[in-house]
Amino acid sequence: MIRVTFALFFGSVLLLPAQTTDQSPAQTPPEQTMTDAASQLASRISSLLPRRTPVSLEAQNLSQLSAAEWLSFRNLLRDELRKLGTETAGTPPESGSPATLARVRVTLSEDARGWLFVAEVSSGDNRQVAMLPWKQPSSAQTKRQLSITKKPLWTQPDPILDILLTDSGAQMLVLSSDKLTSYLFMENKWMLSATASLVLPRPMPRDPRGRLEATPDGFRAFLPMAICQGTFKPELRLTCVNGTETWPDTQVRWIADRNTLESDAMKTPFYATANGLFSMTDGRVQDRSGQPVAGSEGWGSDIASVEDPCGSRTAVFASSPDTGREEVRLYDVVSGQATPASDPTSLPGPVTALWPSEMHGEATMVARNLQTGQYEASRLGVVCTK
Amino acid sequence: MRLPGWASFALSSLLFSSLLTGAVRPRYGGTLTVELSNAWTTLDPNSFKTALSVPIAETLVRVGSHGEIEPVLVVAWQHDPDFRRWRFSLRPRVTFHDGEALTAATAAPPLLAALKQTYSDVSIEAGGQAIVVHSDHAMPELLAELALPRAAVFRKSDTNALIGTGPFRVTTWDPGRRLTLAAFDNYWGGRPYLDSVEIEFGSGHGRADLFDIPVGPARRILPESLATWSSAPRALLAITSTNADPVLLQALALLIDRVPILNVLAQHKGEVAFGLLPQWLSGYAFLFQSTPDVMHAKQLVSSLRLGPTSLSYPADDLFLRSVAERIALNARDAGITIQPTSAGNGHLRLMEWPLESTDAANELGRIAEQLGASDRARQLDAAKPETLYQVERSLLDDHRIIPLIHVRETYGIAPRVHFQSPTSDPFTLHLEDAWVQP
Amino acid sequence: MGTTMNFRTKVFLSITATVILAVWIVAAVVSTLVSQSFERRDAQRTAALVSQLQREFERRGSDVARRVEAVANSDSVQRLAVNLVGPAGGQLDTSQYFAAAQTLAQEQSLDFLELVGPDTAIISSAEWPARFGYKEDWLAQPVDWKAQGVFLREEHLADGLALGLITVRTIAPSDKTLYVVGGQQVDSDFLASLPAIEGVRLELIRDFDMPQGLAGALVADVRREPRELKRVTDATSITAIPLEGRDKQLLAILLVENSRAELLSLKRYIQETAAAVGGAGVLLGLMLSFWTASRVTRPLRDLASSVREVALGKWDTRANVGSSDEVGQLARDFNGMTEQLVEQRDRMIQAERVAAWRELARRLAHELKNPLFPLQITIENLQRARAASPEQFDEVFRESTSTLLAELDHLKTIVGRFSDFAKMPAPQLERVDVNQMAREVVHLFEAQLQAPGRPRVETKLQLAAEVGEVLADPDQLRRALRNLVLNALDAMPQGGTLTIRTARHDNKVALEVSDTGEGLTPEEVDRLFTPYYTTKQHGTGLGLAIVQSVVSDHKGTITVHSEPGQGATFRIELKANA
Repeated sequence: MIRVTFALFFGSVLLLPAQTTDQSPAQTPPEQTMTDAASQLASRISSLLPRRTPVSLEAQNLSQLSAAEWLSFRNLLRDELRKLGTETAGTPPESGSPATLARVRVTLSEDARGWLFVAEVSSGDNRQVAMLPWKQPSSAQTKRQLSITKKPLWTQPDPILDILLTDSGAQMLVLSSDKLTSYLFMENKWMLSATASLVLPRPMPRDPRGRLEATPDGFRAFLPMAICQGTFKPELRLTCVNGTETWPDTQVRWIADRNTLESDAMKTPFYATANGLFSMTDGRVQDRSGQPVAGSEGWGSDIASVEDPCGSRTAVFASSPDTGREEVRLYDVVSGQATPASDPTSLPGPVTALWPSEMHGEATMVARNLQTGQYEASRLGVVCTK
Repeated sequence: MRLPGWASFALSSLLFSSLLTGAVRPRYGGTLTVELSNAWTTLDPNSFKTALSVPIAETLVRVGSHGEIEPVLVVAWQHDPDFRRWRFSLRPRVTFHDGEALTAATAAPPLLAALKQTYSDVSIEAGGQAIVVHSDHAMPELLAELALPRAAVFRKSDTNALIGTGPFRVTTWDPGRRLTLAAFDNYWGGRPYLDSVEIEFGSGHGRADLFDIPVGPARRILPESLATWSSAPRALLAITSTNADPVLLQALALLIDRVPILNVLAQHKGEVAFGLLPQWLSGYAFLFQSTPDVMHAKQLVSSLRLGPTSLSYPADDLFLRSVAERIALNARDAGITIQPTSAGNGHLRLMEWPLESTDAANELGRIAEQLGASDRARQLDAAKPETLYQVERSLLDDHRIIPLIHVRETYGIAPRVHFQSPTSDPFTLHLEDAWVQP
Repeated sequence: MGTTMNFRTKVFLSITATVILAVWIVAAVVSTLVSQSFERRDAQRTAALVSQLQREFERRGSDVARRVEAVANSDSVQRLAVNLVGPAGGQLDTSQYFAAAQTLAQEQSLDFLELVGPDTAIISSAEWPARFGYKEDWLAQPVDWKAQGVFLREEHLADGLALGLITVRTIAPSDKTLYVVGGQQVDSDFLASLPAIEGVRLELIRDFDMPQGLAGALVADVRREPRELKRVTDATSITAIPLEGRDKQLLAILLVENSRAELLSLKRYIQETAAAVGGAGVLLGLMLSFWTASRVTRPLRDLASSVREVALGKWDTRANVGSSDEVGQLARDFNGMTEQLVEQRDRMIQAERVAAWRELARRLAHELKNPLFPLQITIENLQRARAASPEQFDEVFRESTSTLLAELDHLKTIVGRFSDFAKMPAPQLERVDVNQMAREVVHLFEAQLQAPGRPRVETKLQLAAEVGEVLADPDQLRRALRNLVLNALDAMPQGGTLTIRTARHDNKVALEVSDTGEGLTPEEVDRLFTPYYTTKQHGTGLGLAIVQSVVSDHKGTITVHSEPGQGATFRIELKANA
C-alpha cells in the first residue's frame, strides 16, 4: 500500500530498486562469508589438481585483512581442501622430495572492486592460476570502536543529513539527501518501514545538509531549499514546499541553496551554532558579538551543544582536527574561553552532520567512514565519569 | 563497502591539509586557479586522460572507485538475457548548460557515434526519457562502454563550444593556453562550490591553487608544507616495440632494474610494474614479479647479432629521458647498446600509457588492441579475473611490451584549497568537489 | 775578337759589384742573425708557453678544488652527510637527492659532480644522472683525498669516456664518509677557454686519436714512453706533453703547436726588405756608380778621346784639364805629351821629310846615276869616237844612241814610277772577293815561278771561305797584293815558300803574304814602309810604299812580322763588307 501510494506521489520510487539490483555482470561480486569463500576457493584449487594430490600450501596476505582473520581463513581453506581430498603441508617442498608433488600459493590481494584471492597451483613445470573475487558481508566488516560516548545508530552508503528517533526510540527517521526513510526497531535491529522521496524544487547543494525536528504530530525537515512537513503514523507522508524557514529552537534558517545558515542575530553566514557560538565560514568560532572564542582554534565546522550531566553547564561538541585525526571532543565554553571537557573520541572519518538530538544530553552525529565510505550516524552522549 | 587500503595513502595527504585549517564544511564561492604542465588543445572528453577531472560533459554511467558502475545521467537500466537490448531511463530534470533539457533525443546522437566505434550494428531508439540500445550482437560490456569518456553526452554550440550537462560550463577557451569554467547553477548533482575555475597550461609559475607536479625530480622549489594529492598509480610506463627482435625485449625485461627507476627517477611516485595493470586494479599483478637476471639476459642476446638499438622518448620529457638513459645503462651491463633518442622513430619506444578507468577488463582490452591483439581482447570476461590474467600473461609473453612502473599523478594543493572530504576516489580528482577559502 | 769593355763600364761594374756584394753580405748576415735570434726566441717562447700552460692547469685545478670545496660545504650536502650518518642513515632514502648534483654542479659551473655514499654507491651524478646506484669503488682506497689535490681522471659519460680535472672531498661526521667528486672536463672547450696566445694551437689527443704527419709521430713516441717531446719544422714547432692520471697512467697527450709563421714571415720580410733594399741599393749603386763612373771616367774618356784623336793623327789635340787631381795632372801631362809629340812629329816629319828627301835624293841619285853614268860614258864615247875614230863614229854613234835611248827609257820608267807614286788616285770602291783576287794574283806569277832555271818557290794558298768580300778598289788592291808578292819573291832569291792567307775576324778581313826569306831586323821593319826604303839592291823602293798608300787609302792597316832568318809576313787588314 505504502509503496503504491508512494508510487503515485513520487514516480521514481519503483525505479530506485532497479538502480541497485539490476547491474551488469561487471559489478562487484556478491557478498560471501569467509567460509563460503574458502570453500569456493578450495574447490577451484582442487579442480586444478589431480585427485588426492598432496600439496604444500603457502599463503600470503597482501590486503588489509587483519592477521587474525587471515589465519582464520587459512585454516578454513585447509579444512575445505581436506574435505575435497587434498592434504596440505605448511612448508614448500624441497627439491627432489617425493613427498609432495604440487605447490599451492594462495594470496589475498585487492583490486579496484575489493578483495581477490589468487591461487597459484604449480605441479612440476605446469603452473595454473585460479582467482576468486571476494566481498565480505557488511556486518562482518571491521568497525572501529568508538569512544564510550558514542552510540551507533545507522549506517548507509548515502549521506545522512539527520536522524530523528521517535516513538520512544522505536522508530527512526533517517533524512538523506534525496529521501526520508523510516525504520522500525524489531528483532533487535532496524527494519525498513517506509521510504519517501524528497521532491525538491531545486537540486540539493553539493554539501547536503538538513535538519529534522519533531513536531507534535510528526516531524519537519528543514532543507536549504525547502521545508518538508511529514507524518509517520499511520504511514510515512511528506510534503515539501519551496523556501526556507526559521527553526523554532535555534532561530536560524538556511541560506537558500547553500550549506550555510543565517539568523537575525548573525547576518554573516555560518555553518553551525551552539550555545551562542557560531562556527563561521572562515573557520573561526565566535560569539554573537563577533568575538572569537579562545581555545576554539582548530575546531571543525560542526558544533552542537548538550546539557552537561555533571553540572548545569552546556557543553559543546566540536570536531577537533588539529591533532591530525578526526575526533570529537566536549568543551566547556565560559566567558569566551573554550576548554576541553573530555578526552577526544576518535572518529572513523570526518563529521558530516552534528545536531542536537531530540533527546536532551545527546547529539546526533554523522561521520563518513573513510575505510568503508559509509555514512555512520551515532548518538553522542555525555557520560559523567567523575 | 570496504575501501581498499591502497586508497588510504591517496587520501591521507589530502586529509592532513584540509584538516589543518579546521574548516571542514565546504564553502561556496571563489575561483580556483589551476596550472597544468601539459597543454590541452581540445575539449573532446575522450582526450582527458589525467587524474584531474574537468566535468563539462557527462556519460550515462561511470565506473566508481571500486570498479562498480554508478548511474550518472541515467538512473536505471535493464537488459535482456542476451544483452542485445538495453533500456536506459534518463535522470529527470537534467539540463544542458544552455538550458536545454536532456532528453533521449538530445542524448542519442553522441551516444550512437560513440557506440558505433565498438558495435558496428548498434542502433538507438530515443523516446521521452528512455533510450533503447539495440544490436544483433550481445553487448555484455555496454555499461563499461557507456562509461568511457568518448560516450559523453554533449552538444556543440553555434560557435563550436562544448555544451554538456556537467557541473561546470565553458566560458572561455583558448586552446593550449587557457580554459575558464564557471559553475553551472542548475547542475542536477548540486551546484559546485566554486564559482569558477581558471586553468592555465604550461605557464609554470607555481602560483596557482592547484598544479600538477610531474613525475621526476622536482623542477621547481616546492614548500615543504605543501599539501599534495597523489592518485593511485594510473599510468603505465613501458617500453614497446613493433619490429625489434622479441628476444631483445625479453633480455631487456630481465636486465632492467625497476626499483631505482621508481624510487629515484620517479621519486617513489608509483610502484614497479611487472604486469600491464597495476596491482590495485587487477589484484594479481604480483604474479608477474621477477628479479633482474643479467646472466640469463646475456645468454639470450649472445645468439643475436645486435647493432645499436635506439630507444626513443618524447622530446622535452626530461623524466622519460632520464628513464631511457637508465635503461641504456642497465642494458650496457649485458653488452647491449641502447641509444636514447628524442627522434620518434626508434626501434624501441618509451612511453606512458594512461589508464582511463577503473575497469580492469576494459583497460586490458584497450591495451590489447593497441598492441594489435584485438582477438585476445575478446577473451576478456570481467567477471572472471583468470581471463584477465591469462590475456595479460599472453600479452607479456609476446615480448612486445616491457612494463616498467605505474606512476601516480600528483598535484600540489594550496592551503586555501579543499576537497569535500573525503574524496574517496583515488583515481580521479574531482573539481566539482573542490572549494576554496577566501 | 771580343768586345773590349771600356773603362767607364769597368768602373761602373766595379762599383756596382761592390755595392751588390756589400748589400748581400749585410743581408745575409742580418738574416742569419735574425734567424738565430728567432730560433732562440722561439725556443724560449715555447718553453714559456708550456710553463704557462702548466701554471694555467694548476690554476684551473685550484679553481676546481675551490668549487668542489664549496659544494662540500653547502647546506644541502652537509645535510645529506648528517642524514646519512643519522639514526636512519642506513635506510636513508637518497632518492630525494637524485638531482642534487646537477643543481650544485650548475651553481658551481662544474662539468662533473658526483655525490657518493659511504658504500661508494653514487647518490647523485651531474654528468650522468642515470648512473645513480652504481659503485665508484676507486674511492674506497685509503687515500687522503684532500692531500691528493687535483688530478686527471677518465670519467664515464653516457656517450663514452671523458677526461676530467677531478678532485675529491670527503665529509665524515662519523665513521661514514660522504664523497664529493667534482671537476671540469678537459676537452677542446677547456683548451679554448685557456688564455689565447697568438700563433699557438692546443690539441688534446686521447687514446683513440692519431693525428697525421709530424704530430702523429710525436704522439706515437710519447705513447711508447711518456715524456715531454718537441719537434721542430720550418713552419711549426710541436711540443707533446703527456697528461697522466693519479696512477701515472697515460690518459691523454696535450699537443702545443707553436706556429713559426711569424718567424717565417719576419724572415721573409727581412729577406724581401733586404732584397728590396739591396735592389734599391743596387739600383742606387748602379746610378751612383754610373754617375761616378761617368764623372770619374769622363776626364779619362776625354783623355782617351784625345788620345784617339792623336792616334788618328790629330796630334794637336788638347785634353780638358777639369781637376787638379791625378786625372787632371794626367790631362796636363797628356797635353804636354801631345805638344811634344806634335813638336817631335813636326821635327820628325821634318826629319822624315829631310830623310825622305835625302832618301829620295839618294834613290834618285842612285836610280838616275845608273842610267846617267852610261849616258855619260856613251856620250864620252861619242866624243872620243868622233875625236879618235871618225870612221867608227857612225857605228859608235849608233851603239851609243841605242844605249842612250835605252837609258833614257830607263830614266823615263823611273820618272814614271815616281810620277805614278806621286799621283796615285783615290780608290774606287767596289765589292771585291779577296780570295778570288788572291788566286788571280798567284796565277799571274805562276809562269814566272815555274820558269826553268829559276830557284823553286812553292806557293801556298790558305784562303778562309768565310772571308767574303771587301769594299776596295780592285786595281789598287791587286797592285798592292802584287807588290807584296814581288817583295816576297825578292826576299827568296834561293827559293822558298810563298804563302798567301786570308782570314776573317769579326768585321775585319786579313790578307797575309808570307815568305821564307832571310827576314828583317826590327830596324828594317820600322823603316820598311818608308818610300824608297828598300833592302833590295835594285828597285825604286816604292813597292811597299805603294802598298802602304793603298792600304791607307782603304782605311786599313798593314803590319809586318818578321825575325831574322824566319822570313816575313805582311798582313793587310781591311774592313769587311758586311
